[in-house]
Amino acid sequence: MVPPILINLLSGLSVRLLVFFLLVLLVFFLPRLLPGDPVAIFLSSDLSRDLSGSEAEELRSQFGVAGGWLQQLGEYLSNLVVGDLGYSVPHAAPVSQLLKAAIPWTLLLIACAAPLFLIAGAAGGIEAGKAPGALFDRVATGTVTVIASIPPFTAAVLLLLAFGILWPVLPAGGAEPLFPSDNPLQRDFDVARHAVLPVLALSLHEVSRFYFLARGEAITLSQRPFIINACGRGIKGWRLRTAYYGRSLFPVFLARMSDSLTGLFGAVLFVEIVFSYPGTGHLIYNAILDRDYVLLQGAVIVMAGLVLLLNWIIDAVATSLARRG
Amino acid sequence: MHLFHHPLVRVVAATLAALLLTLAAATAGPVGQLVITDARGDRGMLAPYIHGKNGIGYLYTTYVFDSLLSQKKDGDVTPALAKRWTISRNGLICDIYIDLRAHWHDGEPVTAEDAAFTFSYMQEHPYVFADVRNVKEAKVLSHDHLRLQLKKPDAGLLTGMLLSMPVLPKHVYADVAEPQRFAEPEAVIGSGPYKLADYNKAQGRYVLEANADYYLGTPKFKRIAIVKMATDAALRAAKADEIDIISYLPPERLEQAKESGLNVVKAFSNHSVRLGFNHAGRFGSKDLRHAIAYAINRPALISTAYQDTADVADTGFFQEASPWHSDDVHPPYAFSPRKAADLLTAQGWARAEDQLWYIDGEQVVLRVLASKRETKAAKVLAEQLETFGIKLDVRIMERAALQDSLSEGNYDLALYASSTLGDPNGILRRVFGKKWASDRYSGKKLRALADAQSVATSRQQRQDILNEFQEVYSQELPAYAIANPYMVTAYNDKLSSLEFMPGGVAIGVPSALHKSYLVD
Repeated sequence: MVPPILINLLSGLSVRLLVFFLLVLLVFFLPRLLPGDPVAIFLSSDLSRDLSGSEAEELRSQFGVAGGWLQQLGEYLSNLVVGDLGYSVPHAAPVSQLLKAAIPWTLLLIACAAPLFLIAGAAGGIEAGKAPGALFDRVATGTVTVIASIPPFTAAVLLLLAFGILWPVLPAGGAEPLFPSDNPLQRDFDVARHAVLPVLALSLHEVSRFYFLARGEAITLSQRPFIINACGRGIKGWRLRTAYYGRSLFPVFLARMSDSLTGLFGAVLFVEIVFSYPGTGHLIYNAILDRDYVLLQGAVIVMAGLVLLLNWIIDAVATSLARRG
Repeated sequence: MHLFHHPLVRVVAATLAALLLTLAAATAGPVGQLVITDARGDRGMLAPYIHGKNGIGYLYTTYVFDSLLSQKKDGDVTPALAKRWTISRNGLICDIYIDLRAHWHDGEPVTAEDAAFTFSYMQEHPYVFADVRNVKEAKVLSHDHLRLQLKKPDAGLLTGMLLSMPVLPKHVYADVAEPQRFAEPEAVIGSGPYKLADYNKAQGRYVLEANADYYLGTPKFKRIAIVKMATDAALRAAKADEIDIISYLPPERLEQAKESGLNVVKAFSNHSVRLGFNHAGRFGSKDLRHAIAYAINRPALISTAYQDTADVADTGFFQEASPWHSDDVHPPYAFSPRKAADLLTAQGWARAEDQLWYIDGEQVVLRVLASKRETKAAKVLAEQLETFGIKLDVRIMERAALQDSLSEGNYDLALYASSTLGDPNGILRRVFGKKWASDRYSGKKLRALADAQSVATSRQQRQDILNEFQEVYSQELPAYAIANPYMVTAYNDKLSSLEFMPGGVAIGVPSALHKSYLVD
């Protein structure tokens, strides 16, 4: 018999492929609808000379904007099919190489923030939902409500101002010190220090979502017989919170994870820009300003592919878990 | 990239740990190191075809690549790879003798072959900061002797082409078909005082190492690091002696830099902020341009929008610090609402009882475009003109959209800044060109002068023509120069008495960091 998770994986694949294909088209057309010409921006400095007609045409083709839209689309798709993301002229580097340098930084932020906001959200939510209306619930719910009302961008700027500038205990920007240490341990430590503020900013943005989810679920769970029973048997503390509340929360959390991924990947872009963090957010932001279509297409497609992939896997796992009950 | 030499897991764990534990990491640079900060960071790899297409990217590249000529501290040309040169009387033949002491960073000697190769290579693969299209033929006569044959005489031959064109190593570039895609380590083999030892794009960090065999002297520093750092961080780091130079300090932070123990050099940027007119629209009329100029109170605008960070600009295009600036006084168009009103009335405009201006019964609304950098100036300008009775529709635009609107002629007035430095041939682009920050002017009289100066046969003749050019410019007013902002460079005692290069570095980059300051 085929394991149910495989069935779930397969059924989720087709719709995601369709979404991905639509996205590939969207990311081709949308930038081209923006005002501005990539070649004109590339050579906008008044120190550079004007190009003659044939020189400009040559450059246009390198930017992937020579000829009509249909011709450009054909070229873009045929390159994409063979896995060629193209070449960014302003960066003088293949898009794949730029992404290879940037994606690990973005993933680092997400990988550090995810356990933080998941655990904090779950622990806080369970604690508050176990005894709604108690002191902890009132304080925590109040605090989280305030946090939730701050837009992610503002939270990042506030954190930067507080710990990077007014009380400069943490680096205000970048991912590494000016001159990275040769000692790998010191280097890891420096990278970690630089990641603290962006990770906090990202976690703050996400924590409220999971806090309220956990709290709501915990309130319902508290009235379920198996919990009342467990409490009656004298089970409490850590075990009650993890084995009883926590385990029941797991599928709900997973399901929520899968639909909040886009939000998370969106938030990380803002956070990277605020903290001048050298991840994909920075790359995408500058590609928009430079009208570097080739890079923009490549970066968005890869990031979107990543989101869809994660969302696909989490979804399948969540569905399997939910079916198990 | 280096990150993944270690497992991600370790870093994740370390980050989580560092959330609880934060310690300051001490950093100390080796002796003989100079650290330059750049607020923006990545300027691309420092090779001619792939550096960032802006003045700073070009400037950094000059540390790695020498040209045939260089500049003395007063801005005049001085020998570099060309140890001497002669120009024929008709201005069509230029003999260049290469300094055979020069070597490429990989040890090969620099010869006339390399220079000749560069001229032909750049014909085929345009390098936008050096125009070699006027070269008919570059002929190697001997190991060190190169003869250039020009299509027409060029008054800017020395201060333009020969000064700005980086010479490429033939043995590296001869086989490169697409230099825009050539970013291998060999791409940065130049003959300049420093070699590019490391470039980290993501961090915006360059490490240059001294070229011990440099033919024009000894590089002052073993290592030069150029790092991306915001002004606040840079000022703090300067206090802790971690960095040595803040290349462009916002002028309003000058006192703060002094408190941090830095020396400062302040000069006009000569990147004048100009009010451009849509000559294809209603501002084809000179009288209307004059009317707008009289309706603007420049000193008031500057004291509100720029405070102490700019001064009133000269209206004759070239600014006071330029070697080509004429000694004549150009009309300042001192604020005079009466003169402005008279000129407008003569053009058929009418002021109604509401004190607003109308043409044929329709209220005048002018569209002003400006980039984000000129926001304040645009707002003050709008206030001033609205007090005068002309309503403005101010549009602050993102740079791509701005450039688009300007080239489509979708405006009446525009605020933009562009350099007035470099070889005077730049006026052909900056006044008559098609780019967004050009005045896009096409007046015949002024154009004739611009063309005449470009083929002048002596410096004096060129100066005379340029004096007249400035006179006519200030009367025709293709654009009304508003402000000349200051620039500041802050530096510590590792360097002494930096000055902004008069006339700009090579192509006209306003900078106090010409490579001659980095060589003994």
